[in-house]
Amino acid sequence: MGKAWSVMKTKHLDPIISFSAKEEPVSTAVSWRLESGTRKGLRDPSAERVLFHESDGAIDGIVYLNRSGLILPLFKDRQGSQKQLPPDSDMLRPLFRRYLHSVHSIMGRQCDVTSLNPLIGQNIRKAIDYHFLADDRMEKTEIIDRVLPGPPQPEIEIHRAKPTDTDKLFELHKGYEMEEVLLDPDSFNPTASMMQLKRQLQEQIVFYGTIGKTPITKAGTNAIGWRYAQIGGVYTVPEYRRRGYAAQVVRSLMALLEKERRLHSCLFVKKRNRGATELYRALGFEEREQFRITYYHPH
Amino acid sequence: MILKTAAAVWILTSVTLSAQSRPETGSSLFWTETPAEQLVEQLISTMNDDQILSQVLMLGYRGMKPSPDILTWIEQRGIGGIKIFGWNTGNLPELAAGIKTMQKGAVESKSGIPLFVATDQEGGWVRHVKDTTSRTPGNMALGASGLPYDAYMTGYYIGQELRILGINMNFAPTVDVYSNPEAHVIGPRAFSSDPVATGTLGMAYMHGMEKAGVISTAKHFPGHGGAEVDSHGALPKINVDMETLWERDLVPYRMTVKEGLSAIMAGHLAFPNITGNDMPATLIPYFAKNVLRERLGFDGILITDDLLMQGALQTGLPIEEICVQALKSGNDMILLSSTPDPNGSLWRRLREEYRRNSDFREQILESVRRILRVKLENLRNDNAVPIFPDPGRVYERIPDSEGTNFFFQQAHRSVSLIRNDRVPYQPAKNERVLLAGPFTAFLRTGSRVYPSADTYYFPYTPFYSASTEEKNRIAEAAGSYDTVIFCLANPSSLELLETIAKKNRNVIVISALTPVYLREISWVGTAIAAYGYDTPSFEAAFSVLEGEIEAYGSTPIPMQTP
Repeated sequence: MGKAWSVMKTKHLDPIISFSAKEEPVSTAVSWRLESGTRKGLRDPSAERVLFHESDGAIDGIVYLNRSGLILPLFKDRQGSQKQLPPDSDMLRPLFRRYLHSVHSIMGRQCDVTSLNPLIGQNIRKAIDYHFLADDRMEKTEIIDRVLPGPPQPEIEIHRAKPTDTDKLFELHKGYEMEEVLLDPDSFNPTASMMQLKRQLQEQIVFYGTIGKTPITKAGTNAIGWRYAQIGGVYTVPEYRRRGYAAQVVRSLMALLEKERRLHSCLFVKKRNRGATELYRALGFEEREQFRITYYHPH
Repeated sequence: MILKTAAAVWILTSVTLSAQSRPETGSSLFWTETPAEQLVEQLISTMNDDQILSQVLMLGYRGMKPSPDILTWIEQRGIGGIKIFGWNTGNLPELAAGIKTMQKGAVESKSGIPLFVATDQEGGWVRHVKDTTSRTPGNMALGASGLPYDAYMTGYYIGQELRILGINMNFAPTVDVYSNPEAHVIGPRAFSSDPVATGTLGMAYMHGMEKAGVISTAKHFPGHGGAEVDSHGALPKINVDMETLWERDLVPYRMTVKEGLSAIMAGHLAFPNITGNDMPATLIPYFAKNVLRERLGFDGILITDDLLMQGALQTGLPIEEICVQALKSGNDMILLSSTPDPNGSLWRRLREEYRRNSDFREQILESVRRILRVKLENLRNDNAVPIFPDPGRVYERIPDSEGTNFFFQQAHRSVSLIRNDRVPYQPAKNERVLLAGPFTAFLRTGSRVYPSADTYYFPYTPFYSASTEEKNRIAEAAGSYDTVIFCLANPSSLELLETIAKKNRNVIVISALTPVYLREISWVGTAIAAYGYDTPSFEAAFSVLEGEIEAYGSTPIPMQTP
């Protein structure tokens, strides 16, 4: 059988999903792209590709690519080595060239992300390091209650978002994108952002908190895998920060994931964002991986 | 001349149908409020020979977008229907846009008659329309819970999703009576081995789909559930006499026809004891004419299964002759999974027969009357499936959120506990557990319930037997665990399970699809039938295994080896 890279077809889907599932929590975003809700397979087969590497019939690496230039690598047993190239990397380079016009970003385990860099013929624009955290203890309520004594004032009301809440949550979503996602806040695109929020509300689980009728904080999942749901988009409007509101919303979300879906939670948080990191540790999250997003200049 | 003008004025003034079902363009005659019986004759009087003959064709096409050939058939010939296959359905908005284009072509063509847009969305195992459509537990799960309400709501929610896409006809319910456990190709698609239970659930399913505006097609007439094991990809021969067929396989048809069933699909099945030959039921007049029309009094549409299937091709006849023969035998519509050349030999052969054979012509006219009547009755009322679906709204309604909830509950009502040695099961502190199965939904659900378990995926295909390599690999893996929770789904997984048994007999089995394979493994002490092969069914099965819920269902087929 030997070793080789191939492009995923429908018949390869199950073993590839199974491989990704075993690498969770760090691979939750990949698991989600392979299978979500009632959909099995890629959302848009004309805009997405999955490459996979087999050694003697067993899959030991996959790379997800899409038309916007996003790459999600996932390799098995790399022992954290950042310098080591992916297996059979000379086969990978032409596949990248065939399916990607230009790389926008690579996201994943730090060692997996850096190992692909020599194969990308573009200059790095920025690399951001994250802690990848996960919470999979069964009993955690008492820890949370110790760290978060009593509700903050004024009290917020917590709601689960409905697919029709797009308008209600747009300002929060916009604030989040401007502060946390976009490298250049001037590039904010309201239409794209609205579409993205709409889709998130349709497919994901989102909670938000209101004071009076105004939403001031939110958190939701952005990927749901086999055992883990990845939490993202955690955001509180600046004037209400550092009062524990986000913690309340994240806790409600985690409780629902655990109770109704039997899912543990995971997330990644910027290393320099100490406040948030402390908050997640208090909520029971523990460090699992070094995570990185590398952004590239266009060709 | 005066008469013609009067007729035109009358037609114009009677165009008052609801905006929901009536397209804004196209020939108006079809959409007038004239009663169906009367309008059928009016429509036929405006149609030329080619338009009449084309109505009996239902064709498939390749690719996500309608091909140029299928558009030619629709716009220039005026075919009766199109069939959506799995290969057309990767992206639902694109599918809806394609259906809209094809219907536009049909209603703007000279005859202006909308298309049947058909598919196979049986639920469970057979789900041709993919992407985000609901994954449902399937007919055998309905047989296990035994509630007609469940069958009704299943038909309704499946119909609701097809409706959003503009699919107005479904080749479901499958009402084959699962009398032979070796009928692998039917298996979980059947409701039961009991004819009356099959008929009752089939009726409920049909009425549910009717509520969503979708036309039901019962299949595979006169009955596929007695087919032998080695029927795969060949013509099944079923050795029953007419009396058995009447009291067993035909019971669901006797029941649903009385309830107003609109369409039936004929299967490529031979009944040598009845017909005295090996010809498929689709290509001889006996079943269509003597049984269906005369004895059962059915006046809806009889449509063939795909004539490009091995069961029909095996007759050795060229496809043109198979098509002519199928129509002569009393089928009203012929189904072809790929698009023939619009000017090719098939079309020429059909036209030649139509022109020179007056019996054939009469028969085609009779069929077209039925086709038009069913279209008029189903495609222009207030509850009709929209002729022009809205691609932009597809993902808002598919999956149907109420339906998702219903199917989840239905799966829980159907799951059956077959052997209960280790129920409720919780692994001991250091017990090593392996989840092994051919479905990621099984492994995913199992690993949420038993988070310390490892997972082992093996392929579902080949269906009938597993390779030596696969056997060695799983035996080695299973050897190092205390307990294996195994998903049994087909003959090849049965072989793997028997291989594991040589190393490890601490096996808990969750059966997916038909539980018939459990009859072979009496040494397994803990077994649960899930019937479906998707998340809701596995969640139900694992909930029974861990003792969260009691099993309510009971297997609708005998579990003892006869």
